[in-house]
Amino acid sequence: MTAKSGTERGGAEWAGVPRRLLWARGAGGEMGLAQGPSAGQPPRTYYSYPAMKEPHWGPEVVLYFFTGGVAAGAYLVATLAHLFGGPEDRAVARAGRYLALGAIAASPLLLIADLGQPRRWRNMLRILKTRSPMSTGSWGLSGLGLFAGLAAARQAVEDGLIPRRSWLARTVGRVPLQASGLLGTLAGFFVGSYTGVLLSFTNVPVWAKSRLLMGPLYLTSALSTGLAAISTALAASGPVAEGTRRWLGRASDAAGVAEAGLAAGAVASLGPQARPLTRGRYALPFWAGTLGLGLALPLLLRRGLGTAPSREVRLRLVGTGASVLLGGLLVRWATVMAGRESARRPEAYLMLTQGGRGSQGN
Amino acid sequence: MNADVRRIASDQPAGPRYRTGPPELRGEAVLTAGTRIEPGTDYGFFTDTTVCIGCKACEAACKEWNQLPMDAFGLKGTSYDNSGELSATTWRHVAFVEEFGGGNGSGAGRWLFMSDVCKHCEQAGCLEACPTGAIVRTEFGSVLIQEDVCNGCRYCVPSCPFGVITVAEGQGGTAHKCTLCYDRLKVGLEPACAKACPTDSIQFGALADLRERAERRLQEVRERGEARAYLYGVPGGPGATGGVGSLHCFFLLTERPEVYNLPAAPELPSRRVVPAFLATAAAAAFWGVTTAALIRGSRQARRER
Repeated sequence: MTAKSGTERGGAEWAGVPRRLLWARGAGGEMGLAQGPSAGQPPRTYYSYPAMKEPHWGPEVVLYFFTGGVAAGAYLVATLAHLFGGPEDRAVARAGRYLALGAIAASPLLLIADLGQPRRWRNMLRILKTRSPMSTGSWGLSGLGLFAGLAAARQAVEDGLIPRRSWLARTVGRVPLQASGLLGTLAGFFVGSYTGVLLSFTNVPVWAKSRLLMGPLYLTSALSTGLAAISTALAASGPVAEGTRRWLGRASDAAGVAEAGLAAGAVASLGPQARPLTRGRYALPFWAGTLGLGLALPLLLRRGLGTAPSREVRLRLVGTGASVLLGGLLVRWATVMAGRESARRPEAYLMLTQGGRGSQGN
Repeated sequence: MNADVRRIASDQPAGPRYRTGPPELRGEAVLTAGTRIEPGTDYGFFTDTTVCIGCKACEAACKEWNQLPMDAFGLKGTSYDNSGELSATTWRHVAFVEEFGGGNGSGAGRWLFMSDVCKHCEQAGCLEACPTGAIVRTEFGSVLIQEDVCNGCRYCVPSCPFGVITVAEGQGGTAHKCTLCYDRLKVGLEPACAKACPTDSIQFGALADLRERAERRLQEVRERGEARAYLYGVPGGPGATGGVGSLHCFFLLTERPEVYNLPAAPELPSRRVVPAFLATAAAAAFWGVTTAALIRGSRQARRER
């Protein structure tokens, strides 16, 4: 037996061995030379095969993260504008309610497209499991759908799109306004943020390690894309009141700064695990989405807006909104894909799960 | 087969699930594994990697009993292990760790074989993540996916700390993994892999028995000179960290866990849900107040003008 061959093997002992003979190939090949995983050193792997499985979530799920965020953001802004705004801000509430309904209606369709069969969506609402963000999120999405539908129906009655005497208008009118607004706001905050929490509630290194920032990042992105959708819709359909434009811009800037800060914070806290976000094919979309399209371009487009002619103001507002929306989509796509890449790299997962152990297995 | 064993074997409760098969086969596990299978007891595998010879009989037996389709036919080119990993269509996987070319010029080396399987965790990440309730804890303490309830959301896939579950598009797009041969346990048969194992590297039994057996075996292996040997997945040991509790399918290993592609200190994802939720709630409160203040402020500025 060669039982003792496993003990006391130093790295130097392996010097001169052709790399192709070593068990750990690829990234592990240079580093996993049986020296034992100590802090900061990538561990030895099994032929660089993934140590955990990545979720094969594709474009449908990323798009859903986006539409869910827009719906939540638009609903929240509309509700807050209705509660705290003046008569000028009614247009914001109106646009926000319709946009929220449209985006929330698209969401289950995207999820069903991802699941493959329509009847499978039903099983999401078979039980409520508080420990599973996928379960609570499905209920939250359904709840927001209900409240967004109520708000949009109320708006449609106000706008005369639904006859006041109709059955629908009377039913909607009977729902207490304050209570549905409050519950809807809670659902909005939940749907806007749970997708980020859902991602960090896995073993995927990039998501799991930035668990404190994923929820806030997705919520902030939901808010900024919601604001962008509203200001784009307002600017595209007519002149925007100056006061409204100003607070929409300020809120959007605040969200953009916070989003860039959260993204930078996530990368800083990830340390060496941040690799998929700082190098490779997802780095550019991630930073272009947060810093470029989410912050820099909108700031540039909105500069000196007060003195510009009305037509140019509207054009620039549409451009700003489109930039933020695209940025939000890119951020979600990049975080999902970077997470999947980290799951494929065994060193990343094995490093994450080294724990505080010292002598295990030695 | 002695009379005593025959008596125990035929002494199974006369429920409908024991009606199939000839009487002498009821409770067959008594004969093959020395264990009578009863609902309400936790069962599992003790996989002793020191006696595994890498024959992959367990993989073949598993595929055959569970009627799993073959995987892509080809050579991986990394070792003699060409199945590579556990997946929806490979519920047992024998890893071939090659330790050759070791420095002192003797050319001596060794193979480490390890038959990997779903760990049927005490606290299972997949079970907690599943939004539909498709993943359940059975009366045998195992973790089972009900294929008619699973809706293919794939959330269990990254929630498993051991990379056991995947979704096979060819199999209805739902998640699949080892069932601890639930159908066999129901009729008193030990799981196919354990029955097929020619060296008893895979031992099936009641968890309490297995742990005792494993401790004895560990002492024996250490006394014989394999000082690095340890148990992976017993309470308090590596593999049973971070809220996972313990593994119903545990292993005797002689190298660090990573060498077998196992995490040394896995963590249950649900451990992160409270801090993540609190951070998010704080962000929600911040944005609610900030946005409301911006709208309010703008309205007041307009009034004053």
